[in-house]
Order: sequence, then C-alpha cells, then structure tokens
Amino acid sequence: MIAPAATRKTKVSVLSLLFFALSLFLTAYSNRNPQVAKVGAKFVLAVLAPLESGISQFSRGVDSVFDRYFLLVAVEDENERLRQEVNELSAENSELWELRSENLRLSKLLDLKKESALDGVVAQVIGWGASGWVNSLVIDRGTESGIREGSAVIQKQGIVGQVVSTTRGSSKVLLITDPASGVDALLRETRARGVVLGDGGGGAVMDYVLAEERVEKGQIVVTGGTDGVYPKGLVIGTVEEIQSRQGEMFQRLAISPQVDMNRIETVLVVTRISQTEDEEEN
Amino acid sequence: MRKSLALIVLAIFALFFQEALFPLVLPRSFVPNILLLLVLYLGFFESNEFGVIGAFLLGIFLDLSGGLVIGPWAGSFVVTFCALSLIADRVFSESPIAVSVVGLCGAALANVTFLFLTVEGLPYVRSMLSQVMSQAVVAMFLLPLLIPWLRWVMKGQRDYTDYA
Repeated sequence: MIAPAATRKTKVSVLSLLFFALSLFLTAYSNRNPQVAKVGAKFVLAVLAPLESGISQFSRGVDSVFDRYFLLVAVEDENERLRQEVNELSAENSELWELRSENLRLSKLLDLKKESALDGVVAQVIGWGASGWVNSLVIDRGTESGIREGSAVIQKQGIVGQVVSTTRGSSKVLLITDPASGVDALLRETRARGVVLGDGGGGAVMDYVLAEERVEKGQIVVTGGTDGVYPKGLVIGTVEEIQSRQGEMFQRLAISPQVDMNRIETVLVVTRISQTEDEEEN
Repeated sequence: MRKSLALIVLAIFALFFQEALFPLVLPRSFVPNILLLLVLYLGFFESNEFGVIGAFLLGIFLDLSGGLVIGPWAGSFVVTFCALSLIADRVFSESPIAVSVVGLCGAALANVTFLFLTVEGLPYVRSMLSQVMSQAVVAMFLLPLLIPWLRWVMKGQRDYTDYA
C-alpha cells in the first residue's frame, strides 16, 4: 500500500510536469504570436499604472522635501522666527529647484526635437520591470498621446528603448539593455554595421560586426536606421571592449550605453519622424 | 476560497511593490522578486494541487507584466515549486537558517531555469550570473522574514507552532 505522503508527492509531481509542459507550449506559442503576450500585458499595465503613477508623484514629493528641507533644517540654530522663515524659504526653494531641474530636462528634449526633426511626446517614468531580467520601464503616456507599439524612446544623450505595450494612459518600454532588444547599429567613424543587443546586466553588446573591420575602444555607436524603429544617427553608446577570436567571421563589441538606464526620469517618445528639407527635396 | 483570494491580492501588491516602490529605494539588482518568494512559500506549506496551480498562475502574472513572452516564469516557478515541495517535509521549516538556505537555492534554481528557457546561447553569462547571485542572496534574507507573515495571511496561523 502506498503511503498518503507518497501519493501526494506523486500527484504534485505529475501535475507540475503537466503545467511545466503547458509553460513550454505557451513560451513557444507566444514567441511566434507576440500579440498574445501584449493583450495580457495591456491588462496588467492598466491595473498597475494608476498605482505606479501615484507612488511616482508621491516619491518625487518626498525626494523634494527630503533633499531640500531636512538637510537645511539640520544646519539652523537661530531663533524661532528665523527658523520658521528659513523653513518656508527652503520649501519654496525646493519647489523651484524641482521645477528648474524639470524645466532643464524638458528643454533638452525640446532641443532634441528641433535638432533632429522628430515629433514626439515627453513622458515621465513611473515604474520599472518587475522581474529583474526584463529591463523595462513604465511611462505615463499612452495611445491617447499618439504613442503606439514600436515607437522609439530617446533622450538628448541617446536612445533608451522602444514601446512594446500601450494602454490609453501608460506604456511599457523595453530598454536597449534587455537581451530581447535588437537595434540596427553603425560605428560612426568606420560605418561598420552590426546589431546592438542588451546583455541583461545593464550594458549592451554589438554583435555581427565583420572580423575584418578595424574597431577601437571609445568609438561611438549610432543607430543604423534600417530597423524601422529608431531614426538614423542617434547615439547608442561607446565601444568598451572588443571580443574577437581567430577564425571567427564576426567580432563582438561590449558597448557602454550613453544613457544611464538607472537614472531615467523623463523621455521623449518619437511619434513621427518629420521629413527634413533635404529629404523633401529628394 | 480564502487562500485563493489572499494569493490574488498578494500577487497584485507584490507586483506593485516590485515595479514601482522598491526600484525607488534599492539598486536594481537587489529589488526582490516577491512573487518568487510567494512560490517558495507555496512549495513549503502548500505542497498540493493548489500550490502547483498557484505557482503557475503567479508565473503567468509575472510574464504578463514583462509584456514579451508568456510562459518562462510560469515554467520556472512550477519547477521551483515542485523541487521544493518534494523536499519540504525533510527541511526543518521552523529554523530560519534552513529556510534561508532554501530561499537561496530556490531563488537560484528559479532564475537559472528562467534563463534556460529564455536565453539563446550563453554569451552574457558573467552579467547574468551576478544577477542570479544577487537575487538568491536577497531571497535568502527575505524568505525567513516573510514566511511567518504569509502563513498568517494565508492560513491565519500566527506562529510556527500553529502549523500542523
């Protein structure tokens, strides 16, 4: 006679095996049909985005108070009236400081729009990828601002990623540091072509660069413009390490992204690439 | 019914904490995967059909939050749950040290299984291994703290002695 514990274990193992097989099937199926994952992702995004937006605003408020108020309170040892005055001015200063820094960020993005003839929407980051393995962001703009899946997300310094899922008021952005991301790329000086993939650890690699191409550390990597997502010539990062082996057809370059993905607060989502005068003439 | 409802609410809050709250205060590689900790809890204390289905659905929920592929986390969570449920009755679950070790190994197993299901080839082993290690260490510290609380939420048991 089989003991109840053994029966339970067998049952759990068989059931686990079935669900694992189902997971493999789902992985393969959703890999071939990305729309399936996107429909579900929209639902999760719609549920969580309002909460994330709330916490993001709250945190900005707390940051502002903490940075500019408590630190100043620590240095005051004057009388009560002056202290009160200092506190009030500090709070006011804090607000102005935040506004100034936001203004600066927005101005940079506006400059970028003018310089590069890109039409876009400025968005705030309100959340980050949940699992640690998917390098993604959640932003506070969605389809009602003209954002659609596949829109490029950039900053003044360089590219950030692309939109993979949207709802009316929020979007999920896959960063270029995610292994599932791929960007057509060029070395700015030599025009050597390759594909930039995320390394999953906050950096990126440029793969499929022909072995005979001369590459040096510090060279700038820019977008190639043929992937249908990113406009040509935007900075991706700089070459940090060259990995090539004798006899191999391609070399792989470790890239340090130009944008610090851990410090992104505001981004520009490209909604349309305007034609420049030169292009219109052609 | 109570357990199912508790698990759904916990999952929503866990994802909210993982996506929005913890990244504000912790370095990205040390943001805990609380859904994974829920799976480790299920492996310990719900070694039955409810646990398997719970682990699978938690994985699907995490996959959906990524928005790319459905299945890898679900598969990884089911494997981790199964491995843990097979050894759960041999682990002294009253000991925080034993629970910590299980947290470390369980988190490492879940992350490695996830990588196995998602990454083609192993070109980025170095950066990914450090991520696996940091996640495992975070789970090692958090699991013993979370388990008593989860038992209270899921089963109404206030301390270890209530567990039968």
